Amino acid sequence: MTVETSAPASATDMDAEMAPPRVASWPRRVVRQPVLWVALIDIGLIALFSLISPGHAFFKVANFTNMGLDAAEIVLLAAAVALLIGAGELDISLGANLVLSSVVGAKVCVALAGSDAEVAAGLYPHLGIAIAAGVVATILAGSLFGLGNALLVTRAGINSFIATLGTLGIGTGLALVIAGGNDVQFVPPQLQSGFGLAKVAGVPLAFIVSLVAGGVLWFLLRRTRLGLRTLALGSSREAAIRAGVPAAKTLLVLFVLVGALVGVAGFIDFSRFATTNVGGHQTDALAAIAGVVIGGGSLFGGRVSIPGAVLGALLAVILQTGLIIQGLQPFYQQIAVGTVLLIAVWIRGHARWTPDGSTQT
Amino acid sequence: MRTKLLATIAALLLGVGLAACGDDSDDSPAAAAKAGDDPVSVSFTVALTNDPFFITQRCGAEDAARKLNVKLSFQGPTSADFQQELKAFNSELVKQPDAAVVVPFSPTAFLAPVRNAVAQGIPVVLNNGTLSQEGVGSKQFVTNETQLGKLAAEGLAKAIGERGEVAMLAFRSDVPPHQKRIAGFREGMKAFPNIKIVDLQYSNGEAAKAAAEVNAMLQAHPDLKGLFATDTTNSQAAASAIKGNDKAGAVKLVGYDASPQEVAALRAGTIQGLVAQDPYRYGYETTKYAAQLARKQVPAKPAEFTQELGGKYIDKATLDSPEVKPFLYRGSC
Repeated sequence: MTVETSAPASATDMDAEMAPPRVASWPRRVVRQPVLWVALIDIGLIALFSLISPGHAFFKVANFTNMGLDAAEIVLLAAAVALLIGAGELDISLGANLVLSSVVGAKVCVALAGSDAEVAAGLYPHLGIAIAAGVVATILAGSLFGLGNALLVTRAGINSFIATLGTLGIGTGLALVIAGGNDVQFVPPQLQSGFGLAKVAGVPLAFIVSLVAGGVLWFLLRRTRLGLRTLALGSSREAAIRAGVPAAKTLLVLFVLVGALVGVAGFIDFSRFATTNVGGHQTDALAAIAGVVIGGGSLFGGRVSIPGAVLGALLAVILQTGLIIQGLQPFYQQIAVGTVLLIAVWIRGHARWTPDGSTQT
Repeated sequence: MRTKLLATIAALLLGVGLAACGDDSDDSPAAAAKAGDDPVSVSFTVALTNDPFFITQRCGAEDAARKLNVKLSFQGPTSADFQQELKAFNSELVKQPDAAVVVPFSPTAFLAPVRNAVAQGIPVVLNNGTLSQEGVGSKQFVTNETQLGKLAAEGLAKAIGERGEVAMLAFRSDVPPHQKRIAGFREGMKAFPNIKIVDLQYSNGEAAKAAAEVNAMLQAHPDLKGLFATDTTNSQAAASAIKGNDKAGAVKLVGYDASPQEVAALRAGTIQGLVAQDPYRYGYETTKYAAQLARKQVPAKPAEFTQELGGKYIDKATLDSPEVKPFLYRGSC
């Protein structure tokens, strides 16, 4: 059996057709990384605020510690949702999940730590088991929330934006029902001093946890099959499915993983304040997604950077803190944050990241 | 091109930052000489910064700052989110003020940060709130909310002819000042056996939610005669909901706090009474006390930890009298 092939007319034509893509030199590739630009903007803002803040207050260790603690939750959320965005999905229920998980976890912790009377008096006879149970309960609650999202998207076939819009409302309401409209009381202060506000070599422990989680997620995205499949699904859902990527299974794993990480953020939340914050976290999801986009992620999927998401989330924290220290009125703060986000995205927008660093035409 | 862009942005930020740099009062040498005291810095942290209650506090604080040669740094989020307020509070502390005034929107969450401030040598004055542990900080200024709740009960009872069904619309169930207002109202209503409290709803400070809840209450209790709304947002939302149901005047409304809109509603007849706190004095007295702490003119741990600031019940008849005028809240300073 002969296979008909069309032979190239000449050697030069063949060269032109089959030449490998032009790979840019490594300095060019580095400069095109959006992560580099976000890092530069972050450093630039730190330098600027350190210079102009009264008494250079921005550059104090106390301030960096504050920022680290403030950033712990949002960095974790941004790194987590980056995975989902890479797969071409959105999750706007992050804040509601955080609140619900923190309420469940805090309630479990307080319930197991001692009787009602003991706990109200500040005595915690079963502290160890209460805290362990609190950790498990928060992460479990978060994972179940993620599972709920996953089933809505993969089984019910609902668009992830709409699905998580729904679970946002359900989650917030459920949290208020479980909490009875109040923030949970009598969370053991040992949790606060031992973890929530604890520092390791001056760095808040909670922030370290978030960075470690970010590192694990980076590894997951760049070095495992799950990560490859995630980006494939986001890049072209159709092509990925035809290539054999199990879309439903992968998305299920991703949503549950994100939910579990949001649970961790919820644990950080109530162990930091020794209470929950059912009225807050309303802009968390948008802030996390903004961090991902600033860091080089594409909302259409297929292109995302975990370090970029982390640095992008840090950008907002640095900016907000700097403006507060400057004494800027809250109304101006909101305008400034919005403006700088747009500028940051526009700057790094010129750097279009591709896996091999070649120019995108 | 990129460097030029980055430089422009840096300049922009610098410009925005310096131009809109808040209302920190500058200490001029002339003022320092006149006051006779060295200038001290006081940080003043609140939440809900655009609520007339806190705007009026700010007016009082700024007046005290001017008089007493204090460099005032007023900060806080526009929402009631205590996490945002803590961010502002912690950032203020980094600047090492000589004293701090703070409104603890979460008695539990603010405990550790206030302790932390005191440990750093920054005396803290608690403004219109308490912490989950008594005695942390230098002094707390509170309103006798229970008493004001009673005033509201008496006012509403008189307005509805001392008989009928009434309901309450509150902020949240875990904020102590509001708990006391509710408790005081219930206590006050005990003196009127023909009045029954039939409902209590929480709006979490959201106007739309508050209005929806009042609508629902009006449907659920068609014989409702009176409503007590425990803060500005609730009062304004309730007034609009009652008006929207064409029940203005049929359902008597007693609100809390005397914001400009509430006062206008009082004049127009959609609200029948207002229980006003004294935010101007809050701002003034807390700043004054903080300055005294900073200058070591008072002990860091005074004998009396709690100081109560009073309030007033206002109805249409007394609205324009001179005693009532200082209690009216302002929309701007």
